[in-house]
Amino acid sequence: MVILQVENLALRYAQRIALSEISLGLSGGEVLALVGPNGSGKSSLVRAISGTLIPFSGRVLLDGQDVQRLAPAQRARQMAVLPQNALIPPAFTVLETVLFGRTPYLNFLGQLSARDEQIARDSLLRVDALALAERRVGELSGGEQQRVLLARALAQQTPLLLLDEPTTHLDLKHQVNLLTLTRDLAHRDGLAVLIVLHDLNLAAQYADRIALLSEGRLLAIGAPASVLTSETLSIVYDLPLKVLTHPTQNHPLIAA
Amino acid sequence: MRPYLLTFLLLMFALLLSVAIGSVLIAPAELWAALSGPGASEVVRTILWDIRLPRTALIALVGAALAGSGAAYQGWFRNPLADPYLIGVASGAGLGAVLAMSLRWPYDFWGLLAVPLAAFGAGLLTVALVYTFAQNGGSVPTTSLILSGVAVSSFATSLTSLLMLRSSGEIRRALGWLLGGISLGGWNAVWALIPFLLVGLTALILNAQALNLLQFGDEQAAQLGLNTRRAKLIIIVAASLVTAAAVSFAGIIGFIGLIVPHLTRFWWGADYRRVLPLSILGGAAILLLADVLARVIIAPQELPLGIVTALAGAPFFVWVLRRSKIGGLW
Repeated sequence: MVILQVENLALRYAQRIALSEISLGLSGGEVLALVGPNGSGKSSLVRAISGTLIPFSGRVLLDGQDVQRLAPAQRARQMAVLPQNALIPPAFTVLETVLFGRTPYLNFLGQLSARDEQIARDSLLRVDALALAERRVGELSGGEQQRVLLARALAQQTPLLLLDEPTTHLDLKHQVNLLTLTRDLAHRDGLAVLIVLHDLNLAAQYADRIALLSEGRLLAIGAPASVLTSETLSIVYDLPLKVLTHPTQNHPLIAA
Repeated sequence: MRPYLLTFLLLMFALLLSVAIGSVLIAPAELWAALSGPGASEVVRTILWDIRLPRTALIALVGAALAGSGAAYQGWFRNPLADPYLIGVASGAGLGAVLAMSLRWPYDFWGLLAVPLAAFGAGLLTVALVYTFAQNGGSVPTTSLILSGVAVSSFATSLTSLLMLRSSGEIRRALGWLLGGISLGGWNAVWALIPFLLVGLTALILNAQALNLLQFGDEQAAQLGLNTRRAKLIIIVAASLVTAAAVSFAGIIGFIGLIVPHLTRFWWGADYRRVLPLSILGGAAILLLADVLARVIIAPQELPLGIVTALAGAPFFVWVLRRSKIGGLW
C-alpha cells in the first residue's frame, strides 16, 4: 500500500531552486534510501516531506492527504522524523525524551498512561537502549543520543519513518545494528522507511530501492543495481568510481 | 508527591512568618484568636486583617506570578537566564504602569483595572522588541538575550524616570512602588490581581507539555505533533500578562523568576509539568520569606523588597551563568 506520495515537488529558498520535479512513491514494507552529494537536496526533501518546508509547487501526500493540510498532531501520527543534527535538551531523562514521542496521542491534559510508558520502554528495547532509561540525555554519547531519538520516533507508532542521516554519529557496529533494525521495521513490521544515507555501500546493502539526487533533481530511482552504475555515479560525484558486486551478498559495491 | 508536599510546607511556614512578624510581633496564640473570632485585642485584629493579611496575600501572589512566568520565559526562549526582570519585560510593564498612573493613581476601580492592562500592553511590546533584537535564525543566544534585555529595559526605565520627574506629586510613592514592596490599596489590590493570575497561570500550566516539546526546537516540536505557533503565542501572552499584573501591584522585583525555577529544576528535574506548578508554589514562599527579611533587616524601617531579592539574586545569576556555560543541568 502506498503510504507516501511525492508529486512533482519543487522547493525554493528565496531565489535559489532547491528541489524541482521530484516525484516518488513509497509503500509499507519498503526501505527507500535517499543518496546524493552534499547540497543535492536530500535534507530539503526530508523537510518538505515532513511538512516543515512549504513546497513552491507540487505536493506531498500522506496516505492520500496533503501534508500541508494536516494538523501537526495528525501528521505526527502518520510520520515520525529523526532529524539531522537534532537539538537535544540535556536535562530530560532518556525515558522522558522517548515519551515525547507519545505527544500526538495525548489528551488535552497531556497525561501519559501506563500503556504510553510501556510503548516507550519497548521502543528503547528495540534500539538496545533500555538500560539507559533513567539516565539524563546530556550524559550520553552522540551515538547513544541518536538511538534515543530513534526510539522516540518508534514510540510515535507511525506507518512512515523519515531518517535523516541517522548513522552519522555511529560507529560501524551501531551503524550496522541501526540499519538492520531499519530493515526489520520495514520487512517485518510493514513500515515505510525513507532514509538519507551518505554511504553508498550501506545504501546498496540495506535499501530495497535507492533514489539518487543531484542538484535538486531526482536522477534515478529503483533497485540498487540499476541506480548505482559507474557512469551515473562518476558524473554525479565528479569522481571516477567503479561499481563491483559484493562477493557474497550480490549487491553493488562502490569503490573509488 | 514529595516535592509538592515540601514546597507546600515551605509555603505554609512562610505564610505564618509573614503574618506573625513585623513591627508588632503577633504570638501564635494571639494569631489564632484573631483569625478565629473576636478573641484578640482590637489593635491586633486591625494589624492582622487590614495590614498583614492583605500584604501577605499580595506578596504570595506576586511571587507565584514572577516565578511561574520566569519558568515559562526560560522554556520559551530556551535560555536559562530568561527572567521577567532580566529580559526587560518587568521594566517595560513598569513603564506602562507608570504611564497609566500618571493619568490615574490605582486606588479606585478604574485605576486598578487600567494600570495592569497598560502594563500588560507595554510588557508584550517589550518582549516582542527584545526577541526581535536578540533572535538569530530562531535561536536566542544568551549574550544577545541579556544585552537586548538590558538595552530595552534601560530605555524603558529612563522613560519611567522621566515620567516620574514630571508628575511631581507622586514621585516618592512611585519610586517606592518601583523598587517593590509597597502594597497599594490593601485587599483591593489582592482582588484585582487574582483574575489576571488565574487566567495567566492556568494557561501556562495547561501548556507545560508544550514547553517541554519546545526544548527540542520548533521544528522537532512540530514533528512531534505540537501546534508550535499557537502554543508559543499562548505562552508568551500568558507569561507577560502574569508579569505585568505582578509589576502593577508590587513594582519591579527582580530575580525571583530566575532563582525559584532553577531551584526546582535542580532538585526535581526539567519536566515543565512539575517545574511550573512547583515554581508557582515555591515563588510564593520565597518572596514571602524575602519580604519578612525586608521588614526585619533595618527595623523599624522597611527595606524595599526589590533590594532584598536583588541582593540574593545577583550572585545567584552569576552562578547560573557559570553553570549554563559548563553545560550541566540546562
